[in-house]
Amino acid sequence: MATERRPVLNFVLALGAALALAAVTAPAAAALEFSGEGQGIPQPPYPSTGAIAAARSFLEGRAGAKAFAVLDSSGRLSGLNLYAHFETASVIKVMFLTAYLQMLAAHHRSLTAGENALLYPMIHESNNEDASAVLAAVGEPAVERVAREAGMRDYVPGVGWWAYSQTSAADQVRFLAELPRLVPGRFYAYARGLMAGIEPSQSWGFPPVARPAWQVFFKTGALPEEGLFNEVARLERTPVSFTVAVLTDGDPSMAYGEQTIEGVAARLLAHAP
Amino acid sequence: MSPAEHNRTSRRRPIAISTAALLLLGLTPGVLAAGAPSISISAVAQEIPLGAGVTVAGNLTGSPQATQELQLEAAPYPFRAFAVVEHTESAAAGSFTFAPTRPQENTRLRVSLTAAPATASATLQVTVDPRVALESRSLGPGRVRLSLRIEHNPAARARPGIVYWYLAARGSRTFELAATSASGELGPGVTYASTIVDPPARHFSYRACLNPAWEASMGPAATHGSCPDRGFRLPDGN
Repeated sequence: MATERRPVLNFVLALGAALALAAVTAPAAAALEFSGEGQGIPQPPYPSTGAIAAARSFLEGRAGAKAFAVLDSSGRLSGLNLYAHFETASVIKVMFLTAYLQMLAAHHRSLTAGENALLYPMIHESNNEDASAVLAAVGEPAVERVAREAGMRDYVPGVGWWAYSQTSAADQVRFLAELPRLVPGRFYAYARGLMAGIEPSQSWGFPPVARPAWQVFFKTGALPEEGLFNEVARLERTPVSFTVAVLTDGDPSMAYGEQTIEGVAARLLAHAP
Repeated sequence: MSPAEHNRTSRRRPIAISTAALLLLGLTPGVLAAGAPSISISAVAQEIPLGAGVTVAGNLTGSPQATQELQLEAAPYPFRAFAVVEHTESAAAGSFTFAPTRPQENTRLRVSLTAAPATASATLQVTVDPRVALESRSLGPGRVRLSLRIEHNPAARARPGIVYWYLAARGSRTFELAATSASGELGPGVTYASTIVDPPARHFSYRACLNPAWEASMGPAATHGSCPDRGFRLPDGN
């Protein structure tokens, strides 16, 4: 494609003059910077509307209460029962992780081995005691702030236990889509590593369907006595990325709940980008 | 398609220099003394692309001799010391013109007499811009290759660095960081980087930003800084 080969040095000069007005959104300074114009064919939104419809149809046929949301690669939200409230179970631990890493960044601190010994098992094996310790360290207001910063509208702190916090599928996909912005930059690779390296017994739903073609950053959650099985995931396959949340309640068994989420995954990912 | 040379004349800078613009510089302290020789100099262009020549001309006044030998001295970045790069002789009327010199980085120039009395002109700053070629090539749905080739001072050491690529739909003022890629040296004085991105729209704008080690030695000082690590919004009206 033809390009306009115009250096942005002039842009930089003009930018300097306008900096006082645009300090929040414009770069503080620019280095050697060059601009061009290009043409191309944008990647069609992924998953396709057909795939989302197939997933919705499948989910409607499953027992119990259920919801799912997809924030596709173009940022469009769709799904089923997008704003229905469900208990978070352990998917809330990603919010705890985010709040903790924000706290470290706010205090200009690095992650210590002791802190990693809390955060790693909280995500890797979904350890509840460590999650409670992390919540105690950051405080509920910090988690609520994460929810606000992510644009979540349905988050309600749990009464009695954090796992009973309320969320919606739409909230969860918004949160995961904002994760690169919410997690301080120097901790983002760490957070991604935790969410990509969850132990096999906790890796049901999307990972077995999506891998190895996709990078899957996810968290599962379960309250088996209620038949509640949730999963939230961020899937990346260059240049495509999207977020998805599947929330279920009243499942007859854990195997049933896992199969429900895997069924949604299979339909969403039926065709490669 | 082939990448085209980056065209310096397309820049709309407030101090844009055309080939018609001459910069006349001040005189030496000696000019104030009656009868003392003085030298004024000018250059056809104050800012040139790498490889272009800059012609320094001027006038010698107050010299007791009909003609006088002069030397052109250059102090390349960081401008610590001048060295002689050309010689010429003034005409009877005092005018002189040196053969074009081709600085490879930002350079200060001055003209002095080769013989006593010690007399030198004021300095003339020449800004040398790297030559830049950008290219975008559609590879199919969701894939556009962006590439950047920069010719810079071959004497400057260039280590691999990071190039930040920002995209915006055409007409949008909000640029998002779409990719980062490593730069490499194709040869002495030639930096190259490329990346593949998903275009935000069929027609889009892109920007490539980098902080090479030789950055301070080339181009206007106002361009030097750091690349935004996420994205940015252009100020309205820019």
